[in-house]
Parts: sequence; structure tokens; C-alpha cells
Amino acid sequence: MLNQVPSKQEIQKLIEENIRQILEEKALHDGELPEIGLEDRLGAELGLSSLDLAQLVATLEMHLKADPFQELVPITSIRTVADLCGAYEKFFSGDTTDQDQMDALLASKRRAEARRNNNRS
Amino acid sequence: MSTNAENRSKVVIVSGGSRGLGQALVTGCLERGYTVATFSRSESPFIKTLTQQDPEHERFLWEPVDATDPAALKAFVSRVASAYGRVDALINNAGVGIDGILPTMRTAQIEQGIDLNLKASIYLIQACSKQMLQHSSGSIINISSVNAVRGHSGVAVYSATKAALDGLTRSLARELGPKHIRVNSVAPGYFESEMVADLTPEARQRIIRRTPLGRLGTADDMAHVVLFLLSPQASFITGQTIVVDGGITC
Repeated sequence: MLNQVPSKQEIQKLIEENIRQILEEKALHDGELPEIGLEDRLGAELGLSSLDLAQLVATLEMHLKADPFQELVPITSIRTVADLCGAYEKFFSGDTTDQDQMDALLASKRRAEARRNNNRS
Repeated sequence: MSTNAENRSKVVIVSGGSRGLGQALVTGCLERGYTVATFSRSESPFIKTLTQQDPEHERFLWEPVDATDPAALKAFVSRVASAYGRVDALINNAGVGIDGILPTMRTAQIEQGIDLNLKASIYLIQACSKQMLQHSSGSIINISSVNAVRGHSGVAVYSATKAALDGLTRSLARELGPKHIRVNSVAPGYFESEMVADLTPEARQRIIRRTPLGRLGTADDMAHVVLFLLSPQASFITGQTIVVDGGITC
């Protein structure tokens, strides 16, 4: 378990190790496992199911004490290994862009509703 | 053949283990050598005794937790995993009776019932399944009710929460099965508990008359089925609701 904010390299290494472990458990690949590249697609190329991804996220949560998918990043946006690494980097960087965007959208919606109400009266 | 995994004490979380069926479940799990973590709103004499017998929490842990607080449930599961290294099984037992005719029922009562009987179970399963996924095995048992499979006047919301649990059981069995996590429901019928304590002697006799096996159940009757589902003997059973009611619904 990591005790401090992990570096980009540490996150990437941890993710690759755990993907490899899941692939070994699934016995999808006999003999030597393929190299896992950052641009590899988790489903189409590496053969991970959505449940495998959930297993990966659960294991990473235990190691990193972080779950970026609860609020910060939608899990459906994760396609590649790089996307996954990016989600954790974002979590540890304190970047809350998505939340800010949602807040801005909400504020915009409220302003539009207020304008409509004013026009009616 | 004996392996380390078989010799290791299985870690079981029982929600609402302080009294009634929860007490029977905790007792049964401890008797089978399992490590048990449980929570309830308040400490009962039963819990006090077990805590005194195991002050270092080697095989028993209890904490006061409000099951309607998702963050508290998640934190409890994390503490159990930290204390014992893993979570092997979850028994979703905590629940509340929701009696009354729906048209005149208070909104607060409906919401409290759904929060405790359904939402708490969902959040607990979410937290525990994350632990189970890490070692690709586990067993989840939802305590349902005969009210989930038969209609009865005056318990519509209760029935809805329990039927929802059975739906959860079936879908999760499919969802988590590929990672060797089994999910089942046990649906108790009428058994000696606080829930039947208020029945009039006539209502009690009527139930017994309608029960093919001619008696009310006991908490142990229910616990035995749950313990079977937890055991390796049930390793090919998932997605099922097992009705334990002396035949009253057959």
C-alpha cells in the first residue's frame, strides 16, 4: 500500500501489474502475457470485461486509497490503459474539472429558469 | 485435502447481529469457527457478552453503526477488511418491519423502511463486493421474507423492499458469478421473534394450522439454512431464494 501521493510512473506500474494479474487469472493468454501498452484498449485488445474492470478498480482502491469513479470521472469514459492512469492522476492532482463543469452547468440551468420565469411575469 | 485457505477462519459480516435472527446468525457463525463482524444501532446484552469474551476482537467485532448512513456502512466494511485482511461473506440481515395500510402510511415511515431494508443492503453489498472481487470469491446472503413471494395486506412496503432484495439477488448472482461470488436470498416465514410477539393467540394458532409442518419456525431454523448457503456444500448454488416457512406458502 502506498503511503504518499503516488507518481505517474507508480500509478502506471501498479495498474499494469494488476491488469496482468487479472489476465493471468482469466487464463486468456497461455504462456507469456503480452506487453501492456498505454494505448491498449481494456476491452477490445486486452480482453477485460466490465467486471474485470470493477475488480481492477477495487484492487487499486485498496492500494491507492482512491476511487476516482465515485464522483470525479465516469467509469464509462475509460477505454484505454492511459485513460485509467489518467483518472488516478487526476484524483491525486486535486483537479476537479468535471465537478466544476457540472456546477457551472447547474448554475447556467438555474439562470435560464430564472430568465424564463421573469419573462412569464 | 486441507489447504491454508480452508483452515483460515472465514470473515463474515452480519448486519443487525445484536438480537433475534441476527443473534442466531452470529452465534451459528462463531460456532462454525468463522470470524464475525457485526453492527447495530445499540449494544445488546448478547453483544456485550461476546465483546467481553473477546476483548481483543480476535474473532468477534461489533460497532455501533446507523445502517441508513451509506458512508458509515462503507467505513465499517473498510475497518473489518483492515482488521481481518479480507471479507469472505456478507449476511444482509438488518431490517425493520413496516406495518400499515399504504394509503395512510407516513412518508417518513416509508422512507425509513426503504433506507434500512433495501438501500442499506445495496450499499453494504457494494462495499463488500469490492473486497470480495480482490480475491475472486465470496458469498452474499440477503434475508428476504415470505412477504416477498406472497401478498399480505398491511405489509405492502415491507413486501416491496424484500421483493426488491430478491431481484437484487438474482441480478447480482449473474453479475458477480464470473468472479466466484455467490448471491442468494433466504426468505423466512413466521418464526419465534419480536415480529410475531404481537400476534394474538388466535392469529398464532391460525398460522400454525395453515403451516403443513404444524409449528412456527425458530431463528435457528433460519440460521441453519443461511449457514448451509455459506458453506462449501452450497458452492454451486447462486441466484436463489430459499423459502424457509414450514410450507405455509406451498
